[in-house]
Amino acid sequence: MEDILVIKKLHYKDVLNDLNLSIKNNTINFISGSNNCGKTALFKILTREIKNFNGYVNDLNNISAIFYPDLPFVFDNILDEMKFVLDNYAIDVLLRDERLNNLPTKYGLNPKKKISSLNNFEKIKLSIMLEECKSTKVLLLDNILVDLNTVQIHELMQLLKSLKKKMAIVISSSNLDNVLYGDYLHIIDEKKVLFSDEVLKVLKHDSRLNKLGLDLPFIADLSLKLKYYDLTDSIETNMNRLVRKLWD
Amino acid sequence: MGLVLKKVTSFPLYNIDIEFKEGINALYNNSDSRKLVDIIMRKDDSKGEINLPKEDIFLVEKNLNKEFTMPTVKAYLNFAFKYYNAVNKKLTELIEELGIEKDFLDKKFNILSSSEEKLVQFILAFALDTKVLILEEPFIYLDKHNEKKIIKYLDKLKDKIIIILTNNSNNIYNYTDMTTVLFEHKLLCQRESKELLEDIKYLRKYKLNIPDTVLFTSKARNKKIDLKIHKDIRDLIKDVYRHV
Repeated sequence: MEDILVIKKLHYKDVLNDLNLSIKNNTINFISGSNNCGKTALFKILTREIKNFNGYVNDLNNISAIFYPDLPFVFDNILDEMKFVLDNYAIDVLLRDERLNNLPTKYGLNPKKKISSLNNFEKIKLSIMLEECKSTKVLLLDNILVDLNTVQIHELMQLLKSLKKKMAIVISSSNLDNVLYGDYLHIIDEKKVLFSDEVLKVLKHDSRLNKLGLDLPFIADLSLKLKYYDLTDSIETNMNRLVRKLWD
Repeated sequence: MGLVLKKVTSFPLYNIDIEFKEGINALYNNSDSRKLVDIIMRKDDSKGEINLPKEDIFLVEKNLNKEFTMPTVKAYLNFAFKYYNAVNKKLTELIEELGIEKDFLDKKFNILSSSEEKLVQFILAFALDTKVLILEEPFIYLDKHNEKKIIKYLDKLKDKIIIILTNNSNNIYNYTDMTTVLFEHKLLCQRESKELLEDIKYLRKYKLNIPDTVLFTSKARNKKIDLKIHKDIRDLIKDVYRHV
């Protein structure tokens, strides 16, 4: 898979220093670290909200971000909002109609519904759907999962798994609760990237992550600690499978 | 006497009788419980009785209300003290007790991160020192270090009525004494958190989240393994070790 986003020697005030990071196309990435490690600042640099940085970032076009809880919309209803985005981004007519017809169903949204009547989860889904309308190439989602319950997170991550066929997705979070849904995990500490690899490979650095105030997802944590006692042979992500491994 | 609601009615909630006692309470977060919080905060017209005036209650909302922009955290807090007609507590001592660095008060207010905004809300809430403190999803922006700092402080406020509005079953199980659940616009239960969160059949019946350690233990027991339920993962590992 090609790198769609490449950041080299990024420096911004005393927040980020010598930060290097690559994001592969068609992957879901989690960026995590303790509070104030610079996750949101990095997203603001990538979306040009912050401009006074030094370093190399390959191509800042086609990068979009959603900064929860700020979910700004222009129009009253979903359909008008979609039309506005599709027209503004000059999407081809055929593609435009296809997206208008198909995307609301895919996201479980009624296009006639008033945006003011949507709950938080629906507003988040709408924001992401609009990014799919725009043909965004790298989608940054800041704190997007914090306010969702487990069922909603599962539904959203299934949508993002389907969406990653069209783009790279980067989700920031101050915890590791949902990283098992991702392909890659990048940890920021001391102003730079400390770990950047497939999720399970990064989770193996459990003691270092704990020191940063990051607890592993329960089942990964349990299986990793049981591995130290030779009770399992690998880090496990599924509770039923771990129970079967231990007692079948 | 705790926070007592008698026959409180406001559509769709009907005839709610609840008492929240001193200590750390959980209120399972759903649309009914959010409505109940609005009633307690007098944001919503309701019938019935609430024994404490709204001045005795402070709500830490999920996100900081940034209607008022201020140059620094300190300026915001001073403004808030005036707004709430409260005495300015010794802020330096409070933030030291919370384990927050001293220069936090001088930080620019409009560029705070989500976690820093959350800490501002906590400092204000703790400084106002009201009888009742309602915390709406208090830990969602915090890493574990900050979460533990806040819990450590809340543990010292046992003479206050603390209500944590959340549906994070792990936090309810680990941090709270009593849990209240509203279901279909009525009071479903008010039980000790440990007892409720270990009652898997009940949790499943009402589609409430099951804490990870409880769920794992239940799956082991289904395999006829006599595991005990442990809050601490290290104790769980020792128990698993004994049974493998």
